[in-house]
Amino acid sequence: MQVTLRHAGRSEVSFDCAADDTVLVAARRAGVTLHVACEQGGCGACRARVVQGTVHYPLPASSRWLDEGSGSEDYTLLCRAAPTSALIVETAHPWRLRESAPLSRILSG
Amino acid sequence: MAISRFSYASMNVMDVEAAVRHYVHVVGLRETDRDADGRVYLQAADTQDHHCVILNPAKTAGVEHLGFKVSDPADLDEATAAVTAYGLPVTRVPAGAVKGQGEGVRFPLPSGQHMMLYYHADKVGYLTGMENPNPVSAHSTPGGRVTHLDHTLISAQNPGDDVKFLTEVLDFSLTEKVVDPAGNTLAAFLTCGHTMHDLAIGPGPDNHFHHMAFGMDSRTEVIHGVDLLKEKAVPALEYGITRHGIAGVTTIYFHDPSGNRNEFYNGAYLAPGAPGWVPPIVWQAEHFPRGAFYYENAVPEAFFAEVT
Ligand code: FES
Repeated sequence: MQVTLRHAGRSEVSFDCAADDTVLVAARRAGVTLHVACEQGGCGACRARVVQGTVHYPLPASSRWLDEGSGSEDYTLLCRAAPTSALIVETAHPWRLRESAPLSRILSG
Repeated sequence: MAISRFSYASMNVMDVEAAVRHYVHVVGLRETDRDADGRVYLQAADTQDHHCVILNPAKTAGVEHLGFKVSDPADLDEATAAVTAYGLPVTRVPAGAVKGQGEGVRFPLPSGQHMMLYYHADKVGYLTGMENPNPVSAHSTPGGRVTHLDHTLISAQNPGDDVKFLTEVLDFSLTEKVVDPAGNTLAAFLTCGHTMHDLAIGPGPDNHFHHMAFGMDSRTEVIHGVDLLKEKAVPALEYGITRHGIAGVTTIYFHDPSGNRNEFYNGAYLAPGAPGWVPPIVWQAEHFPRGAFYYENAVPEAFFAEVT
């Protein structure tokens, strides 16, 4: 499943996400460091607005952040969401790209 | 009025059994009870009361209410009158509504989190027993070697409003505060017991929970706790083991399976909760990074921004 991240003022990034992997896990594998804190679906640090696509939650995510603003399912938590279709999201916080120094290339496998 | 201690945090969790596993096998509490509504009650080794953490099945993370013990049953009436006069709504909670606990009074802080004052708690005794016990804590039990639930930090848009209420109405004592150049309170540390904080207020959105801290006997036990967190791959703050400049305590932060922040810590200094006895230490905002994290001298962006 392809995941695309958008954030105002930066160029978007895309990466693949295996079935049942969370967007956070897939992003890490792709060298994209998301803004997270609890990594447990509770704090909302990783929240994003779903522009297109659908997700499911293998583990629970706090509804406080999912309903935020719209009262709908427009929001998601990337540390807990696993895409069920190609996914485009707009993240609340910018991400960092892992530097491609030789050592980090080796470490990222 | 005499609030004598911070007793428990009643927490919302999205998966109760995952939370129980965490609070027993990572934090090191013992399960003491369950109730008909699916709540689970837990207590630390060195506290006799029925619970220091309650886990409520919920759709969200965060704090449901914070429990504080008063030293005389008549304090409940006094608190009802004083809090009502301050303009905050008070609810009387019948005995047993929280299992193992007598009658209580419940009200919101100016920042929205709920407090419950109560006098009676059923006793479960110390982990080591109440007759001819071992003098050392039980090292064979799972999880961190925590002795007690020590304090909590909640977030508020205007921490000064909570400080005013807690000191003027509930007789808490302010031990340390962080102020901005205009003199506004950005963070505050308050005690009702015998160490420098039982309840702290940090900058952030109203009605959110920052963390609860579990006390340990020594810095060595905190190191053991860090090893345990790493072994069990518990998501933790990137700083740790570290020290706070404020209070100088040794600390590490981590998260329960619903994202509620926990802390293992050791070394708070003594400060009596009697109002006005100890003038507060003041930190200017520009020194706050050193006050928050003494070794790193920087606050990770997500530390205050992200709360449950
Ligand atoms: S990082 Fe806390 S909800 Fe995702």
